Amino acid sequence: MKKNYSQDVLLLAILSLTVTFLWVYLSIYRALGKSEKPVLTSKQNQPLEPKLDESIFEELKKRKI
Amino acid sequence: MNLDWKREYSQYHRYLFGPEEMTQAVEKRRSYVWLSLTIFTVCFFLIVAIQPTLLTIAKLNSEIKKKTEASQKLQVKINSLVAAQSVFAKNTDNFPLLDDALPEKSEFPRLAYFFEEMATSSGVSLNSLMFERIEELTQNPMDSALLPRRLKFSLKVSGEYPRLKDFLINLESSRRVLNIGTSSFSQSKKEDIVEILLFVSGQASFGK
Repeated sequence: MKKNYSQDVLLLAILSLTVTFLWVYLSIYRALGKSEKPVLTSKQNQPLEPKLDESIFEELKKRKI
Repeated sequence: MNLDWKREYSQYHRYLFGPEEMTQAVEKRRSYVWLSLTIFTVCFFLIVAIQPTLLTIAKLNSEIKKKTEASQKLQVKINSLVAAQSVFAKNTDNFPLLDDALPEKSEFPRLAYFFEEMATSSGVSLNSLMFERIEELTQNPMDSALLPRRLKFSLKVSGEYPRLKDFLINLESSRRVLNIGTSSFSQSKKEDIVEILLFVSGQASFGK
């Protein structure tokens, strides 16, 4: 009996398509999860508190020299 | 007779209907091939064109997200800086007080003047005053920038006990940051006069 190769080729094509989709999905997933160099340095990330204990000046004024 | 036509039919059937079935099979095979080719082409373009595009989009999206977060953080910091600037402007007149408390240099003449002034105001006599050599800066620039340096001093005063006590209290009222390490009283006898001595040692801090 003559073998129908075209069906095998179609099956191979479908498998290739599935693998390709999987590959694309995984590469995008990996690219999203990949941690790159942070935009800000740790020094730039440090919070700045614009508060000053002004009572210390009053206390210093009371002291001598 | 009936059996004859059936036999003949089965014998010549493939010549009668064969070409049509063969055409159908070829058509079917051709459609399979075209479909396979189409799928392979889709695969090719997925790998060559779509994947890099999607990757670029994903990278750009994550970069935009990160930079937006960074921008928000920087905006908060800018707001804090503006607030700090207004606090600084409000307290500009008071900052010399901080320089008095923690001067940039050792300024030991000023400290000596302070001890002398305190001794005079307390009614005790300053017998001796010594300053030790200032410690060398550490090798690590971060440590030297953060930690204040210290000027060690020791002094000896004499007088009556209540006045010595006043002197000690006055020392604690110094605007300059002083760390009094030890204070001890002792007696000395000079030509039948007994006097009380107060020995004080400590450290004065200064910045940078």
